[in-house]
Parts: sequence; C-alpha cells; structure tokens
Amino acid sequence: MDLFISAASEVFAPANLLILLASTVIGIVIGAIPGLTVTMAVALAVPLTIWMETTPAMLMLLGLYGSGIYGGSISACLLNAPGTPASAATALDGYELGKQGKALKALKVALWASVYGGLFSIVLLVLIAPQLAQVALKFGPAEITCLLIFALTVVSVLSGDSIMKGLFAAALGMLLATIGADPMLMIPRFTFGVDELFDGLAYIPLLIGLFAIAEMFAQSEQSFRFGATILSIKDGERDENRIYAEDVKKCAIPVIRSGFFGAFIGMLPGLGAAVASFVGYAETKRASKEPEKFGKGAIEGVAASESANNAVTGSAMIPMLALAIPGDPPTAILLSALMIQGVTVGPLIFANNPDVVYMIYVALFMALVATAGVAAMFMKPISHVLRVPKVFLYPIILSMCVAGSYAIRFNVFDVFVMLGAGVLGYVMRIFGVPVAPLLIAFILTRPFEESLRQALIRSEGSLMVFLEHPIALFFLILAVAAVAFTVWREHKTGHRIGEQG
Amino acid sequence: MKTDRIFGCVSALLGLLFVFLAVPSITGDWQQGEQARYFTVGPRLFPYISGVLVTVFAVLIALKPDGMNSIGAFLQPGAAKRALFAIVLAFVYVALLEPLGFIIASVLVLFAFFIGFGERRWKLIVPIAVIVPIAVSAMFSGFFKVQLPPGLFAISF
Repeated sequence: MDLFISAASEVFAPANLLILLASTVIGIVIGAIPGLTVTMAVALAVPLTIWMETTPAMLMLLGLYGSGIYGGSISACLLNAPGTPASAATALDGYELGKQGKALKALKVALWASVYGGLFSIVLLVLIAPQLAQVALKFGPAEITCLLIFALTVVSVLSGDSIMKGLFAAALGMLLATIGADPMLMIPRFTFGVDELFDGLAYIPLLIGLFAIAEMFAQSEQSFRFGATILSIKDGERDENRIYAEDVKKCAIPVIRSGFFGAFIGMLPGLGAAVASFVGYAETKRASKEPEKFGKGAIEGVAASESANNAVTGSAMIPMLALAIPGDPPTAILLSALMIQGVTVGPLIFANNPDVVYMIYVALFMALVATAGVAAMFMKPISHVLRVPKVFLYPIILSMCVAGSYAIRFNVFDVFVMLGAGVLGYVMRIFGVPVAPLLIAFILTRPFEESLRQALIRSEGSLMVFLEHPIALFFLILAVAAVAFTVWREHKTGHRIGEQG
Repeated sequence: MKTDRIFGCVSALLGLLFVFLAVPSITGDWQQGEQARYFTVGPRLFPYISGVLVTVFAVLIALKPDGMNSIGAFLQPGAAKRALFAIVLAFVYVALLEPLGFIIASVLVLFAFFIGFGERRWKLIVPIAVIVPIAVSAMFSGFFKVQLPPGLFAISF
C-alpha cells in the first residue's frame, strides 16, 4: 500500500500531471489522424524522455499509448478510416452511425467502452504480472532460451498475414541485433572499424525509422492526400446523440465480453489491439440476436471493438513487465524506454524496482482518466484535426525524428541509421513483410543469445539441455504448436478461398 | 506471386553472402578457450543461426509465394517517383545537418518538401518551414539542454 501511495504522490506532482495531460491530448490527436499511429507517437517521444526522470518519462509514453488507441476511433467514426489499425473494426459501424447523424453518440460510446476495456486490463496487470514474475524467477538459461524461442515464434507467425514473411522478419531482426560487440566476449562483429557500431545499432533511431520514417515514405506515394468525406460531429440532432438506458443495456454485455477477449489477446505476444478489436466485434456479432444490423450502424459493434482494443493496453504489459517480452510494437518501445532509464525489466523488476512497477500501474490508470476527461471535454475541437492536410504534418515529424535521433548520442551516424531503417521498413511494407517481428526480435536477441550460449556452455554443447528441462520442453512444444496451428489455419483459409473461386 | 519470388531470391542470396562471407570474418581470441580444454561458445554462433534462418525463410517465400504485398500501390503512376523524392530529400537533409546546421537544413528541406509535393499556399508554407525548425531547436536546447548541430547559424536558446 505504501508503494501505491508513494507512486500516486509522484504521479500527482503538478509538473507530472501537466506532462500526462499534454501527452494525452497529443496521443488522441495523433491517434485520430490516419497514417499517424500510436506506435509512431510513442517512438517519436522516446528521445525526449532520455533526459527526463523515470516518472515523467513513463507518464509521457503511457499517456500517448493509453490515449492514442481511443484517438483512432475519432477518424473511424468521422472519416471511415481508422486513425490506428486498432480501430478498423470501429469504422464498420461508427461511420454508418456518423452518416445517420449519430457520430457524437458513437464517439461517446467508444469512449466509455474504451475506459472500461482499459480499466479491466489494468486490474489484470496488477493481479497477474507479479505472479507470473514469481514463476519466471525459477527459470534458468535453458528455460529462458525456450521461452524466448516461443515468444519469437508466436510474434512471427501471428503478426502478419504470412507465416514465412513473419519468420523472415524476426530472423532479420536477430541478424541486425548481432551487429556490434558480442555480449559475452566483447568481440566486435560486423562493425567494419566504425566506432559507432561497437555498441550495436541504437534502438531509438531503428524504431523511429521503422515506424515513423517508413510510414512517411509510404504516405508520400500518394502525395499525403486522403480523398474521403469527413463527417462533422455537429451534423446530427441533439436527442439522437444522447446515450439512453436502452443503449447501455445493449452495450453492457458486448463491452464486458470484448474486454475479456481483448485482455486475453493482449497477453499473447504478436497479436495486438487490431486483432483484439476484430475478435471482440466478430464475437458480439455472432452472439447478437440481430447480426444483420452490424455494419449498418449497430452501436454495440462500436462498443465491442473499442472495449477490446483498449483492453490490450494494460494486458500487453503483463509479459513485458514480468518476462521482458513485449507483446506488440508500442510495448517493445516502452521496454526500450525503460532500459534507457536504467530499469531492468523482467521478473526481478518486482524485487529491484517495485516503485517503478507501481508508478506504471498508477500512470496507466491516470492516463485512462485523462483520456476520458480530455475526450469528453474536447471531442469537438479535436475532431477538427482531421482537416489538417498531412503534407504539413509529415515534414514536421521528419524534423522531430532527425532531432530526436541525433540527440541520443550527438552524432549524425544515428540519424543515418534511422533513415536506413526507414528505407528498410518501407521496402518491407512494399513486399508485405511485417515490421513488428523485426523490432521485437531485435530487442529480444541480446537476452536470447546470452541465455542460449550460457545453456550450451553449461551442457558442454549438448542440445539435450533444452529437452531435459520440463519447462523448457513445454515452451518448445508450445512454439511448435503455434506454428502448426497457423499453418493449418492458412491452409484451411486457402482451401476456402479456392472453393469460392 | 512473381514479386514474392524475386524478393525471396534476392533475400536468400544476401543471406548466403552473409553466412559464407560476413560471418567467417568475425575474428578474435575466443578459440584459445578451446585450446585450454574448456568448452566455450564463440561469437559466430548466433550470426550463423540468424543468417541461416534468413536464408531458409527467404527460400521458402520464393518457393511458396503468397502474393500479399503492396507492390500494386508502389507501381501506380508517379508513386515510386514521389517516394524516391521523399527518400532522397531525407538523405540530403541528414547530409546537410552538420555543414549547414539543424535550423538552416530544416528550413531548406521543409520548403523543398512542400514545393515537391505540390503545396503552393505560400502564406502557410513559408511560416511553417521557418517556425518549425526554430521551435524544435528551441525545445531540444531549452527543455532538454541538447544542442542540435549549429552549423553556419549558431543560435543557442
């Protein structure tokens, strides 16, 4: 309890609350603009946190993360283009409601469903993460190696549309992570005499390049133009935009059920908020007595999608905090931000840095409160950002990216790394290779290599060490099962498409 | 399908070059451990594993293409040219960063960016191209005490 009080007192410091409020507004705005994603917002903010204390740094990042997903629902309802992939399912009914003059009602329902989903996932985070960490403390190098093999496999096979491309991306991330001094003997690898490469490729320029710069190059193909009709919140009748008891009754069960699905999906590496929102939406439609209304303006469709995608925020942090395994790109970035702050994430964080853990709990909760407050009060003015031409936004983002990447180590080399990563991310996107497995594999490779080599040294090179330890074997079986299931699913989908001609 | 095959083949070739040329170039004195008769795992193991995995998955992409890519959007008239313009401009920006300084390089690049992408609202683009770099520089030096490259125009806030 003392830790909660101390964390709350830190978070409630006026300067910290101001940072949280500002990052919440920015998060909603960035989330609302199609093409600017939550991941990009968090990636752009990381360089700014280097010179901050841990509390304001995490408040800034969690404020952006927590609010950005809700922001996506604004453009989903007004533009029929989700601001973030997580809100794609929201657009199915949200935009239809907007066309019927009920955009404000859709956004209100989206907000309260988001708040429920977020709150539910925070409760799960508080309850589950410490227990999981307790179990993980018993892991030796063999168990850690197999756990990381499992995590990397799941992230790879579930992140994109193609298993092979996901696995290829993860292998590429591992390869890039081998640049620099070898973690055990400090022997340089692929540094080509460049001093800046001795410490390896810096995380921040890499992730800014992969997510922000690559997106800019992709958007430049269409000259940053978006040709859709933007609806206005003011279009509808006032009475039609009120939430009535009947609406609450209609949405309550879908919100609770989707929150559960979203939280469960969030805990699994690689799936993320976009999958959660579609699962929540599909399950609500399946369970509905009037499934034909979905896609034509069903309010419970909006509620289900938003509850599910926001339930991912807290639950995705469970494996990140307890096992140092990020579930999706934003948590991978949060993990690297914590590492920059000198906090070692993983099972020991609960023993060594409990203050940071409790601060994260409180910060996530406060980010949710701030999102609710800001969105409820400023929904109309925020919706106007959809009208800002993106051709003005991207050059500004580019100059922020350049400044942020330079500022990490005060050298232009890192800025070139960022651009190189941007080109790589753009090329990967063109060829349909998902970027998330690359980033997550890049982050996990160092502990993976260390534990693999330690396990092999202890066993004097015998691979049996991974089969003799029951927990290690369990994770290997899970990894094989994940691949087998995905191959079976792809095969089945292929057959179905073939049968339909 | 053809795109995936080309991508897979090129990636596999690069993977093979990495495994057979780059990894053996890692040199060091870890083998002394073996001579001293204790078992050790050297720094080449992991690059070998990742290089082989890249090659294997690239070959599988080439053998079993899924056709899921965005090459269609890239091949639309003018799309590749516009993307290439943005990429070149970004590299020019970074190349100018130290000689000209953050502010001057940013002003020039932002201006070129707006013009290059067809924006002609001068009353908007001129103030944005000038104010944004100054504001970003002020934010980094004022709040975070980080001096961005001053170049020709050494202003400190």
